[in-house]
Amino acid sequence: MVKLTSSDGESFDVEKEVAERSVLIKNMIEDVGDASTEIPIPNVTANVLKKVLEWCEHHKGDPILANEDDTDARKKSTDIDEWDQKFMQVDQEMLFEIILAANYLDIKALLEVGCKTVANMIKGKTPEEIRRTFNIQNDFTPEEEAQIRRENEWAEDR
Amino acid sequence: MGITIDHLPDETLVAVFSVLEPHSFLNASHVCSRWLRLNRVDSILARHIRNYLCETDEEWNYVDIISKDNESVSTGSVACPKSDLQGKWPYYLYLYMLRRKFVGLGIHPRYKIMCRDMTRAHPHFECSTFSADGTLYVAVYRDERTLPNPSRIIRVYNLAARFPKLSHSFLFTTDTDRAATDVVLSRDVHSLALAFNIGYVVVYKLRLGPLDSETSTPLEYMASPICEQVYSKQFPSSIHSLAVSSGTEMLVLGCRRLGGLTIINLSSGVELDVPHYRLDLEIGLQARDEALCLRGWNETIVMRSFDEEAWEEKENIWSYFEEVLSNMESTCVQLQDAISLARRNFFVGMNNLAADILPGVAHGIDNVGGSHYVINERRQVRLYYMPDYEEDEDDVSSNHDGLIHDPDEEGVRVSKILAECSGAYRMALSDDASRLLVAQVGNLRLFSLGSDFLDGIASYCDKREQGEDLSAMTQCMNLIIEKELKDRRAPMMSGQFILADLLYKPVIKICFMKSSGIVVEYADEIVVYEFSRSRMPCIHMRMDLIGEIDEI
Repeated sequence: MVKLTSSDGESFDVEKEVAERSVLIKNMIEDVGDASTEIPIPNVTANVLKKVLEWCEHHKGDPILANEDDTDARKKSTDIDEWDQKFMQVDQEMLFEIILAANYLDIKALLEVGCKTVANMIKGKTPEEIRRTFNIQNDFTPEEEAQIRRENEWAEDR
Repeated sequence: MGITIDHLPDETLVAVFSVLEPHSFLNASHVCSRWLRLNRVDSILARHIRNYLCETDEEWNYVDIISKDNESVSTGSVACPKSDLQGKWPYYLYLYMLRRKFVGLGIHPRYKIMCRDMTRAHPHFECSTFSADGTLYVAVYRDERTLPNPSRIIRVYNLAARFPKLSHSFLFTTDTDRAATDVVLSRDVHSLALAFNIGYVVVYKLRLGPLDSETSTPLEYMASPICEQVYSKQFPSSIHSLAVSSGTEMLVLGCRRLGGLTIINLSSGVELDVPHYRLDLEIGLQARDEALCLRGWNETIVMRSFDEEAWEEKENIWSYFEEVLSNMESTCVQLQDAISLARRNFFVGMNNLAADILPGVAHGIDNVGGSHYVINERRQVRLYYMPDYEEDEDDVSSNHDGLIHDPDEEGVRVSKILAECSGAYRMALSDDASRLLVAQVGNLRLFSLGSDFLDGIASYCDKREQGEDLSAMTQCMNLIIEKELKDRRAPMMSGQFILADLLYKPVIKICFMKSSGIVVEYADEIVVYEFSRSRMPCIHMRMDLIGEIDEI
C-alpha cells in the first residue's frame, strides 16, 4: 500500500498498482525506494484526489499509454467509454480540477478522457455558444476580428 | 472564482483542440484571443490539416509536397522563393482547404415536401422542371374532365419562400390531346415551353407577378393576362431537347429527325439549323443563355462568340446567335455534358472511361457451372482550361513542367480530375457557376469553382502574358493551386457530404437553389437542403390533392 497526502492534509491509502497509474507517483516511489513512505501531493485537494484515485482504481489493469508522436497520431475519435462518461459527469470546476490533476500527476489516459470530455462540450457549438458554455470573454482585437471574418469567408466559400 | 477552462495550460487546451473535427476546430478558434493564437501556431495547424482535413493518402502526399518543397517556385508573374512562404504555408493551406472542403458549411434538409400523390405517381402528372436558380418548381397535369382535348393545369411553386407554397396555378385548354413530354422555363421565368408527343411545341409568355404573396392565385385561363401563347408548331418527329431563352426571344429544340437541331426566332418564326456532324447530340442553352451547347457521348460543342464583348453589345439574343452560327464560333470539349463556367475557357464535364468488366456473383443467381460478370462503368468529373492562345511547345515544356498533357485532349491547357465515380450520378452547376455538385448514391460532393480558384489556374498558365503584381496571399494561394494542378491523377479537393436520402431514393432532378442550397426532386418528395453553419429544424410539408402545400 502507498499513502498519499493531499494539499489539504487528507491521507489516502491506496494499492501501489493503483497509485502507479500516475507516472509522477511511480517515479517518486522509485526515487524514495520505500513504498510505505508518505507521498505528498501538494497541488491536488482531497476531493479531487479522491476522484482521481477512483478513476485509477477502475483502470488499474489497463496498459499505460506511451508518449505519442504528434505526427503519427491520427486519433480523430472523441469517443469515451461508458464508465468514463459517467465518471466525468461532474460540474465544470471539478472537471477542470481533474484535468489539471491528471496533467500534474502525469496520468495520460485520464488527461485524454478529460480533454475528450471538454472537446465534446465544444463540438457542434458556435463560438458564442462555446463562450456561454465556459463563461469566456470575447476579447478579440480589431485585427483578430478581421482575421476571423476572413477565415469565415474562406470556410463558407463567400 | 473557482477553476475554469482559462486555468488549463496551453498544452492541455491544444490537446482538447487536437481531437476536434474541422468545423468545431474553426469555431473553437473564433472563441477568444488565446484560443485563436493557440490554433494558429504552425505546428498545430499542420497537424490539424494532416489529421482532419486530409481525407485521402493523395491529400496527405500533397500536404507533404507543400511542406517539404524548398525549391524556388514561380507563382503568377512574380518569382516567389519558397523561403518566403516558410512559416506561412500551414495558414495559407488551411485557408485554401477551408474553402475547398466547405468547412464552414453543412447541408441540412430545411423543407421536405411529401408529394407522393401529386407528382410521379399521380395519374395525370405529365412533366416538371425547376427554374434556373432553383427557386421555382413547375409541374404540368392533364385535366381529363374536358376530353377530347384535355385541359392542362400548370402549377408554379415558390420553393424559396419562407414556407414553400403554390404560387400560381393555370388551367388552360390545349389544341392537342397528346401527352406533354417536357416543360422548360426561361432563365428570367418570363417564358415557358411545352413539348407534346409527338413533335408539337407551344411557347407561352408568362407574367407571374409577385411570387411571395400570401395567397395563391386562383385558377386562371391561358387567355388571362398572366399567360399568353406566343408560338406553336408541329415538328416532324419527337422532341428530345427543349430550351427557351430569356425575353421569349428564341426557342432551342432538338428533334429525332436527321439534322434536327434548330433555333427559332419566336417573334418572326425564322428557323436556323445548327450545323453538327453527329446524330446523337442534344441541344441546350447554358452560361446564362450566352452559349448553345450540343451534347453527346464524351463530347460537348459549346457555341459562343469568341469576342468577349459580343454578348454585352448584342442587339438581341437572336442576332447574337445568328452571328455565332454564321461564323461557326464553337469550342469542342471532349467531355460529356460539359458546362461552360463563368470564366470563359473553363469547362467542367464528365469523362466516360472504358468500363471494367469484373467477375462477380449476382444475388439470387446460382453461379455453379457458369461465369457472371459485373460491368463497372467508370467516370471522371473533369475541369478543363482551354485558353484561346496558341501554345509554344518549348515554353510549355520549360514553364509548365509537371502538368501532364493527354494527346487526346486537344487545346486543353489544364485537365484536372475533380472526382471519380462509378454508377449513377447527377451533376449540377449553381446559377452563378461558382459551385458544382456531383450527387451519387449516399453522398454529394461540392466543388468551389469561384474566381480565386479559376484565376489561380489561369494565372499559372498565362503568366507569360500577365504582368500584374500579385499580393503575397494570392501568390501563396497560386502556389498551392499549382501544386494541386500538377498531379492530375488524384481528384482535387472537395467537400463531401453524406445525405441519407440519397442512399435510399433515386434522384429525378437536382439543382442548386441560388448558391445557398440545393433542391432535389425524388419520386415521392421534394427536399430543399440549405447550406448553413448550423442545423435548423426540418419542416415537413405535404402537397395536397389540389396542389396546395401544407405543413404536416
